[in-house]
Amino acid sequence: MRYGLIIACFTFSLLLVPLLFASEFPRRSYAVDDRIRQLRGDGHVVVREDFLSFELRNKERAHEKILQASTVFDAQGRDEGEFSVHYSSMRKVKNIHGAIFDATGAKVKELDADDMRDLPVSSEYSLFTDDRVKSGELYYDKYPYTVEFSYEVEWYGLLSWPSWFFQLHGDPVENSFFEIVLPSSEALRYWTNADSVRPAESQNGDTHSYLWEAHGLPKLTEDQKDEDIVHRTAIILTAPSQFKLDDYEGKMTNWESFGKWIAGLYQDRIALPPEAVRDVHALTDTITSERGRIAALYRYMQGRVHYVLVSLGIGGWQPFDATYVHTHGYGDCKALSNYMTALLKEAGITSYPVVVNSGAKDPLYRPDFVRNEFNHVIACVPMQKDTMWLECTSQSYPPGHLSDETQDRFALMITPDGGVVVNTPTAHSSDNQQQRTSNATLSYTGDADVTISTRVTGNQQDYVRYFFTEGSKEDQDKYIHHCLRVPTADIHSSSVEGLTSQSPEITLAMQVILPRYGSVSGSRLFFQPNMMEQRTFIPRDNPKRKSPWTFSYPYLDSDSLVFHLPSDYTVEALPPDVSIDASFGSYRSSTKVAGDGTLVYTRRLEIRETEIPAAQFQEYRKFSADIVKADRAQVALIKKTP
Amino acid sequence: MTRRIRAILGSMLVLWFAHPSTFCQNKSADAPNMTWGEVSPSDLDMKVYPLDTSAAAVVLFDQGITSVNDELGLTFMRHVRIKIFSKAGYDHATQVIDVYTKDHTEKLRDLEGITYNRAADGSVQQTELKGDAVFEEEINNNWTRYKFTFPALQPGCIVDFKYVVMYKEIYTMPDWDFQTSIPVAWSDYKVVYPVTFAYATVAQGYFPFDVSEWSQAERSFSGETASYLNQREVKCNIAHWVLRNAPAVREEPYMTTTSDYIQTITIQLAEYASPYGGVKKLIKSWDKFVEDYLKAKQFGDAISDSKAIRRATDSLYQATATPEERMKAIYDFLRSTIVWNEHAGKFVSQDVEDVLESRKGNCADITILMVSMLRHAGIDAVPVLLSTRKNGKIQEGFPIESQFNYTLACATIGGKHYFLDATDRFRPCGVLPASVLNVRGILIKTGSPEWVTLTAGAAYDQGFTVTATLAADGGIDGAVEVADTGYAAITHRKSFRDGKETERMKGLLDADRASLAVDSVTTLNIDSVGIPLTLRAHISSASYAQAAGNLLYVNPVVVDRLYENPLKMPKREFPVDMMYNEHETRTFVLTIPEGYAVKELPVEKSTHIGHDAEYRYAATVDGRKIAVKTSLAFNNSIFMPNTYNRLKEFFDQMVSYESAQIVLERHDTTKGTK
Repeated sequence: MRYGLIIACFTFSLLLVPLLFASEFPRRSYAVDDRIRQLRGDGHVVVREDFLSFELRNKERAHEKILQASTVFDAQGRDEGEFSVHYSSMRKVKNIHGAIFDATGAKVKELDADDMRDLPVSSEYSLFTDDRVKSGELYYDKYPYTVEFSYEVEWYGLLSWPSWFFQLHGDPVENSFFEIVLPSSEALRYWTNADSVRPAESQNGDTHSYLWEAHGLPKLTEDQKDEDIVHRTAIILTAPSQFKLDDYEGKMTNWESFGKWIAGLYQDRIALPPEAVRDVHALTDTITSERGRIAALYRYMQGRVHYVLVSLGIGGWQPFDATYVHTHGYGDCKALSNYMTALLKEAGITSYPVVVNSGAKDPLYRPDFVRNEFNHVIACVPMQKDTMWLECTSQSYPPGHLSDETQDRFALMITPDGGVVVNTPTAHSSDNQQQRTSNATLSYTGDADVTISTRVTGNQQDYVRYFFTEGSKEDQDKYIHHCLRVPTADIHSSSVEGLTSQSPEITLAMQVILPRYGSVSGSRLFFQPNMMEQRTFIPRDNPKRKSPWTFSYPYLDSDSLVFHLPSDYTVEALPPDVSIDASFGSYRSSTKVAGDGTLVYTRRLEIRETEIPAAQFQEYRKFSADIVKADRAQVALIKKTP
Repeated sequence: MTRRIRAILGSMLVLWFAHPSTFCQNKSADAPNMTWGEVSPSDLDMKVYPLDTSAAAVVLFDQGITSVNDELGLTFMRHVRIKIFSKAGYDHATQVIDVYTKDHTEKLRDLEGITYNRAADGSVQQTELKGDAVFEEEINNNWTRYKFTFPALQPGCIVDFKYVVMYKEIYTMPDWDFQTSIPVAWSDYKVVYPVTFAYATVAQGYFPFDVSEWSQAERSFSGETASYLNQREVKCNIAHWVLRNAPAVREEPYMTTTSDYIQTITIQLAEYASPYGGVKKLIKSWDKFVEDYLKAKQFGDAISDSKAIRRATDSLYQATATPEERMKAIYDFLRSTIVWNEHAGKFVSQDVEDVLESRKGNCADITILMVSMLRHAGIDAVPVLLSTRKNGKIQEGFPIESQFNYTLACATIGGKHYFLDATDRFRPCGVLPASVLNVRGILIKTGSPEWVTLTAGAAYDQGFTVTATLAADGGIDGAVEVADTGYAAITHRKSFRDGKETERMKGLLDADRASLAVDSVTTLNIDSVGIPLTLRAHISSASYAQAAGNLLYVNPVVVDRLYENPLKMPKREFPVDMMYNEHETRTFVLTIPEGYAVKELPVEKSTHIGHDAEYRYAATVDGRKIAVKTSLAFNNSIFMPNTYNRLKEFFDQMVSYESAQIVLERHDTTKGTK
């Protein structure tokens, strides 16, 4: 009963007379009565209606009705009056209405459609897309009032069907309705985290309706809001079995068939111009190892083209062809991956595009439910020993390196025969290391003159590599300052090694002056021997936490720092040595006098797992708190008495 | 504490009224040869820009020419050449041209682009920008954006583009920015127009032009222009500005927006000789300027005394209320009920009655409504026109309308001016937004023009009181109370209501840096604008102080400690502008563990900069209680460059004072934890 708490709040209308007819907007009074005031609790807003009805016409057309109404109790809920809706050539929006109702439920004003703004959706990463957004707002000054927005969407081309989150933001909900209406011939495919919540089904002529409802959901507590999405609210995901987008028809009944549809979009788009063909052979014909040829072509791709997003209609899913990418010199993730496979093919190497959900791991991105939740494309070369993965949007990764955004997850390899579910590589803490050594001379005023050498590998080197190949000089200096935590650090020299090496490994060396690294206080001089790796974060306490605690990747940090003390001071107190072991990781730190006027500080932190189960959350909190304490411990020096 | 300090550079404006005699400087500069379709080998093989070796790209050449054309409009031609050194410079190969396309006011023509690379065989390889790579995006009904990325980018390449924009009208010439986020080796702007037109020019920036010259020449016209001027061979004025080797405008700490610092020229038609005789003046005297604003349909004329205004106003106060009470009642009504749509704007967008109805509007809507209501309440009230800090300083010698972008109200009671801006529901009567502080504005009223300076009306005032108990193992547990008035209260009334109060409090106390846990955050009087805002929280840490044997080291500045100097640059050319004065007092009362006594206490310290800034730190012991009091006052908000070093030293002293630690020693080993 993982969802017991949420489900207890649902009242199902299965046995009741349905409150609404299929596909009709709910029309209920927005009067604010005692029941609503009670539901409000200590919040500022009650969601009165959250309604979505999706009616499938055929494989590529659907009609969607959306209505959202919220009662605003005070000025802090005023943002509920802000409305925006995205549209594009495939998603046309019509009949936008907005209105405000007073506490008795009487309509007092309406949204003037002419007042709405209509703007392109642009980001710093996109050169051009056809997405636009309409937005407007409604306010009133006599609380409580209810603001209602509704609109309809006509879909032209369908790859995704709607999802439903009964309580996304945590405000109390009076009524939540989610309806899917399909032709009777069509069966519904859906996934839910609340298995006991079944839709009410009804037949109406030649259509069949599936309706989920929930009523009277109280405001989520802070602890509940801390959970990941699947532990916070009931969710319904739906997806088509058959679909059509532009001229491309497909089936989503399994990963193989969905992959086959994607393969169709990539078909016949790998022809290269003669110049590129010449380049491929000139580069690879003399290289005997397959890995060597892949590496050479990957570097060629990085030098020749770069990432630019242009996305129009089907172009959101279909890549520019390889010739376009070669001649224009740019493309998005799918166009660059397709170009890479074209280069490899010319060199006689078989490779495939792989679609993946990039970013922080999303619990709704699931191999057990086939739907389009992919947002990125990489390339892979299946090989005898181990597959080689290529991130084609990077201008600087070594061949075969993936970031934590695409590592350690399922993905769909697109072969001409269909999709093949694959797992991207999983890293171990030893792959993602940071090894630092330093030598610092402290002056009697507390200033430190320091040489530092830091070797980073695997995922820990991604940022450094990015800043030192694609970043400006300012970005690089900012990164160094960020590492040093001391913004006034005076960087005398810095150098970086390994930017062009074939393995994900970089060494950053620098010499810096840290003014006032130690602080003089009366007869003492204090300083923290842990110069660059102080943790300050302890997760918020949540004794009933249900979600696991997650990390982007496992890692191992080790520091060995030498301090030469000013001659007129002697050690009064050293931090205690600390040693902590847990199933998910370990920590060691120690500060020792090493000979005359010298201290050696060592620290080692290893996180072995990327996911700590909820049952171990308290242990992890304690682990964090102990590290925070140990990391900020200071050395106390006292003036020698003559 | 002083992390809130925002310093902006005062922007210096150089002004010319277009008259030949004022232009006569030419530091002689030979224009580089930048023929379309040819690049010099030295540019193509340049590895690094010698004047700024960290630059990822440099604008080698940026040339614009605006001239009056045959259709009595303007033709603007531009040619830009950019050298890209590394991948970090690829962003500059994506270019955007925004064109005001409403009613075909402007039209983009003849856009061409070429990427030049050094091919492997040493030859120069040209790759043209293709038409299908230029994307046209409708930003809104008025503006169209053309966007493109050059093909065939390689580190070391040169991208070159040119285009023409046709303007239907001659009133405003395109602005010219001589600087951008990368260095500009050569920036060149020329304007050509018949002598019967006079254009006014405003230049902003910090560098002397390398060329700033004025000449006259005959030009041939046909079409509408020729018939308008009634001649074909027309004597024209030619103004020409060149700035060489302009540095990149980079984001630095304490800058408002980079656009404040860029060298720019703005040009607007001032007057022209009418073919029907006489001179028509478009730029007028301040008298005429104010008079026009008084009469403007969307400004002075929009001030209303309708029934709706009268009804809305009368309900806000008793007939016996004093003028001050009436003013405050009207201000509070507008502040709390009308939502500002975040748009500046010096013209109303709707009737004031509609503002009352829709409960939202731009700053002119709110101001004109306020003036209407104040007048109905019998208070002398007028709008003030001004330019926000971000928009740049007003040239008071130069009545150009485009200098202004904002308006607020001025009420005069008993000879005293009250400045009122009701765009923020958390701002008390008489306190102005930071965006208009210390700027000058002009009153829009009958009679001779009157300029006023807008001052803060409040300071940033904070008081911290921390009462905490130390444990022998270094733990701490206590309560913190923050009392805010003035700008501190305005800021926190807004931020401490977004459901993230604990995070906000952590930030305010800088809790993470001291490894303090913060919980039980409560706010008092958050909606009671006008009385101090109180924030309370519980703080704790298992490891705040450090225990070592019989000793315990503790920094008594538990929260909001100044760890680093906010001023980092070794010197400063422009004033440090904190916008408003600041006062902060902190009291820390720490109860030390039983069995411990103070071994070393920080000595009392203080520093000051005349009367402008003062800081004090003092610690006292009373039994098991240690009290540390600090006070900081900035009684001035603008520090000129000649006091910069002293101000920087002042912060250094604060950092040093606040790093002091108390040493406690256990004298009774039978008590306390081991």
